[in-house]
Amino acid sequence: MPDIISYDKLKFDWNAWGQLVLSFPDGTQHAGVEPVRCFPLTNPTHAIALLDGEGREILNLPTLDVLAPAERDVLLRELSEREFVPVIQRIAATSALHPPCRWDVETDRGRTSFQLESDDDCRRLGPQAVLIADSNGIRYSIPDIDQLDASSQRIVRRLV
Amino acid sequence: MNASPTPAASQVESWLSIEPSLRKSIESQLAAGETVVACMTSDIDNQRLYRSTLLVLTNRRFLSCAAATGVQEWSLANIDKLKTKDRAGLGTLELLGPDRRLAVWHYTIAQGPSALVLGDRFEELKTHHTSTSKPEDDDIPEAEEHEAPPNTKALFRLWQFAKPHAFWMFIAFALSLIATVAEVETAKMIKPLINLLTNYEAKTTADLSPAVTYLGIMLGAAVVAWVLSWIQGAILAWVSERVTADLRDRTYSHLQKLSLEYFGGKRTGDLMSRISSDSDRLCQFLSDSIVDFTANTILLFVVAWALFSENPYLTLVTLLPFPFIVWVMYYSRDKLQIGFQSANRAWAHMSSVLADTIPGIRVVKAFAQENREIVRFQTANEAVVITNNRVNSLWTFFWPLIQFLNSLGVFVVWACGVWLIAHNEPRFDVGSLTVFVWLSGKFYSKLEQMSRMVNSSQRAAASAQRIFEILDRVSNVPEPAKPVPLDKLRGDLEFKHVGFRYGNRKVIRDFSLKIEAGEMIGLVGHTGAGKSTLINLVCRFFDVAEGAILADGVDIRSYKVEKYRRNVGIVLQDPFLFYGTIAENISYGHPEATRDEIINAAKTARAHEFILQLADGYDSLVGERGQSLSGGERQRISIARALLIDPRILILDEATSALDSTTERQIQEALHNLVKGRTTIAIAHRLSTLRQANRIMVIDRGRLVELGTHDELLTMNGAYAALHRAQQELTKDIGW
Repeated sequence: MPDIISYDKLKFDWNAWGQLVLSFPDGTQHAGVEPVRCFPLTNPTHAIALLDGEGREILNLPTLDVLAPAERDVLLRELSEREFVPVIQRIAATSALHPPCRWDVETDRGRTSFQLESDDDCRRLGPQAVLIADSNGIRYSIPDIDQLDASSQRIVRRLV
Repeated sequence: MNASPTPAASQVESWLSIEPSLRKSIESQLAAGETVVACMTSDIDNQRLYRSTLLVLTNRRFLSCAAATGVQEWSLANIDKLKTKDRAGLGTLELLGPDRRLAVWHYTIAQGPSALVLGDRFEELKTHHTSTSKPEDDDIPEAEEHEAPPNTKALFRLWQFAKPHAFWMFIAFALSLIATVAEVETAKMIKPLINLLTNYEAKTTADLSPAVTYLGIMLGAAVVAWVLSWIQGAILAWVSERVTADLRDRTYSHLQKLSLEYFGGKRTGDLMSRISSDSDRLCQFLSDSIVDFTANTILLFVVAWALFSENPYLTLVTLLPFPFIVWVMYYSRDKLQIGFQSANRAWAHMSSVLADTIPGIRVVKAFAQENREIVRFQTANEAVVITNNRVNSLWTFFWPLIQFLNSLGVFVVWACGVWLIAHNEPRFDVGSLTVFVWLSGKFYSKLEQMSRMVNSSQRAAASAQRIFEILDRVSNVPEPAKPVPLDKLRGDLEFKHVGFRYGNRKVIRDFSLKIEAGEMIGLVGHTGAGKSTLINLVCRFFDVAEGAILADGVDIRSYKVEKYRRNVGIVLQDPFLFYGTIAENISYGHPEATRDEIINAAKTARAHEFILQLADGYDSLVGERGQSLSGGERQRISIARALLIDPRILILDEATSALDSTTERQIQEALHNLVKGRTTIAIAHRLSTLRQANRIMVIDRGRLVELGTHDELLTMNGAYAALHRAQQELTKDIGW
């Protein structure tokens, strides 16, 4: 690997196995590359680690902007495939006022329901954003509480 | 399990749970002799939307059925592998052909078990093994799915704790009733007394002697009311103290029985404030408010009845503001409960800052972060002020409002009385008006008291809610319904396809190993490879997610947790000593141990000599964290502690890694005595400490990668050899 990496020469592609392939300008290739955001919550666009199949870091991109636009799109698509954090748009119903309880929610990915185990699973990210983890570890985000309807807001505010 | 069922038969249930119309449409596509072997629902589509796809594995084909794509199928011959993986709660199932990926589906982790079954069945079909080696799942108690309790009624649930004291509560209730009636009966004396006085003033009568009788009755009733409410208060105060103490005990003992997983996700300060201050608030409510509340409710009825018997029409007018007051109370109740809940949470947050920084004070000081911690505490404290202010502003608004409405009630009585007397209403005189004013004054003052109680009852409801949250939690390490009797284990351990997920991270994957009784196994691997998790599973701090751990050939989940743990001894890297004497600490796992047994254990653990050096020998007190002892000394005490329970299975979790080389040598001797004849699993970073091990297993990312003796592993020249080389070089570099 060259000492000074010309990030804009990096190529990303998928092989027949659906794995992400990273190609360096000198022709070395890594298949099954896994991109991971180092600070997914506080600074998602900076420090993107590219891991090989063994979980070792091949490269750490300072920002996504250093890539050529086409390659960046590939990487962004791969990242979005790996990040499943539905955005809660409305809380349709809750089985009880306080956890543990089941929530029926409408998200940007459709309607679903999940089990909320304790109020510790609701984490406030900044003044308006909330991240909720269900009993299975799937996380749901509420980017801005104020954008929710009144009754959903009440439910969330009760917890955070 | 007597006969292993055919794969198809064991799958019938999950297949039958699929919606009939969908099932029919798939079944209609099946050829003769083709049966469904496994099925699952992929509940997330490729655009990551919640849309279901039904995946069906038959003995010939793999089918997928979705509304958008219709039915797709792949012949088993074209499929090489079914691969499942999961990350952050999202599972992926890949259908891999010989040269490319055929298809990919996603699912939430809730579908994970059926995905794994699907994968297993596929493997079986591929290898044509009809008899399955799947772990017996018959007698394994399932962790109960947590059902949400009806927690709005938290206060009423306190009844189960009050029930044993129902007799005394009934007595208190009866006394309260009598006292109230006595108080109201006084009013009967008001009317004749007033009329007597007005007549005396109008000179229509000169005899005031009946007044003495009236006054006597009034005084007597007041004394009776005083004595009775005194006794009633004393009884209820005692009962409420008992009830909250029981509640605290139950909560604490329930907490002790919850699995480590629960504590992992909880803040110490929060749990502490639930058991201490929340239960205290409940106690206050039960002793003060319940007493007043019952008394006042009774009084309201009695007074209302007295008013009615005096003049029904005027009573109706008098009670006009009453429904409105009740409505205001009801409305404010909800608002207050939410407010108190967040106030409690803020309080718990503040306690957890304390619980976090006081034990960590050395780190705080070492990094000179005192000011930052002060700011952190101030922020938490400010949050308490803010939430409390919010609640206070609520009830400071509601309460004067209710007060005003109450005064309004009495005002209405005056106004009506004046009007009635002005219109010369028959059967209504100044005496009647006085009675009415007195009674309605009583009525509304009690109502006002009750409205204050809304405040404390909501505070208590919020607290009760937080306590019941602990009580409602079902342990993740459930007790078996029909436990297999167990006294002493022989010590055979077997891991059968063990898998474990921590949160959404898979830490142990398909781990299988057989350990003979008395064998010592070294456990080696990088940090985070899953060593400690494996040990937590053996100790049943957590339960396996897949597969099973067998002790003496029986699933450890079939033993009673307590009985099983009696057979497991553990020596940790940083031993925890409780506040108490050294003898108490050594006999912690076996409190009935005699002094001789304690001394013997200490001797074998090479702790005897240094204990005798201490001022009070075995009776020396050691602090909360055993601060006065060195690391090696504490370690030897914990070895003695493990020795004393004479466990059949022994776990050494990096028992010597915190010690210097000289101390380590001494500890090694002690450990040697401990290990003899016991099944031992020893985690070690320094490979030299595993010299006595019969076999060494190397794990990497939750998988068993190498297994064998030290020499075998070296000749294998794999991961172990690499670790060994690295350590040797390290030793050379720093010149040990």
